[in-house]
Amino acid sequence: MRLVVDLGAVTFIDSSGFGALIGGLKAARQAGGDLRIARPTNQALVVLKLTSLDRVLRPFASVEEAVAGY
Amino acid sequence: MAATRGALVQVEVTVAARADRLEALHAALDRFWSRVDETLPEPPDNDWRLHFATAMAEIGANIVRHAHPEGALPGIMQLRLRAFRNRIEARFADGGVPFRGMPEATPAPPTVSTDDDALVLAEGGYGLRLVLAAVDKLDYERTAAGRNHWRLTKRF
Repeated sequence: MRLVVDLGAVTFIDSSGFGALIGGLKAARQAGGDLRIARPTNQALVVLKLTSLDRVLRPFASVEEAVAGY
Repeated sequence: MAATRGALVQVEVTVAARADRLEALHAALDRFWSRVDETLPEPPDNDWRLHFATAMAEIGANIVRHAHPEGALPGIMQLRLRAFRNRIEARFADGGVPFRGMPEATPAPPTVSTDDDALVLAEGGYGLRLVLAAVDKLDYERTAAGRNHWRLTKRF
């Protein structure tokens, strides 16, 4: 199960939003897969950076780039 | 010199402490930035505002989630945004259940090098860590009248 979550249309996200994505990441990895995020807005990048969650949810500039790495 | 001690811009909003009303906090902040742009000679840039807005929203969401849990009486929260010459402050007041002291922010997640590492990551508790990184000061007080007061301060 390899997932890419496209955040391009998410205008605002808080830490609990990324907490939910961490839940998705864990579920995907338990199933032998992975979860990646693509196209985060500047606001989403602020949350990722300040929570240090960018260490585990590395943002990709496009869905295509995220998929290509799989 | 009371005028120089007071806020240069002030915007207040009172909303139901519900997740579907958090949007009203952003609307109030937009009104506040418009007034700040008209009033302050050197208003903060977009990146600065993004950090402040993100911290403000995090506290608003915490008040909904923790001070007004499901099953509790419906409540309201008041937000007061104020601009001073050297800083911006956001103060939240609500009558919900008290915050249980200032908990340690969740530590930074480890670098995930193997698939197993990710399995131990916390799915919550990052909010306070984010707020403390985004602003200069975060204060919480449970008042004698039984209200929660949160204050965020970010300096220019």
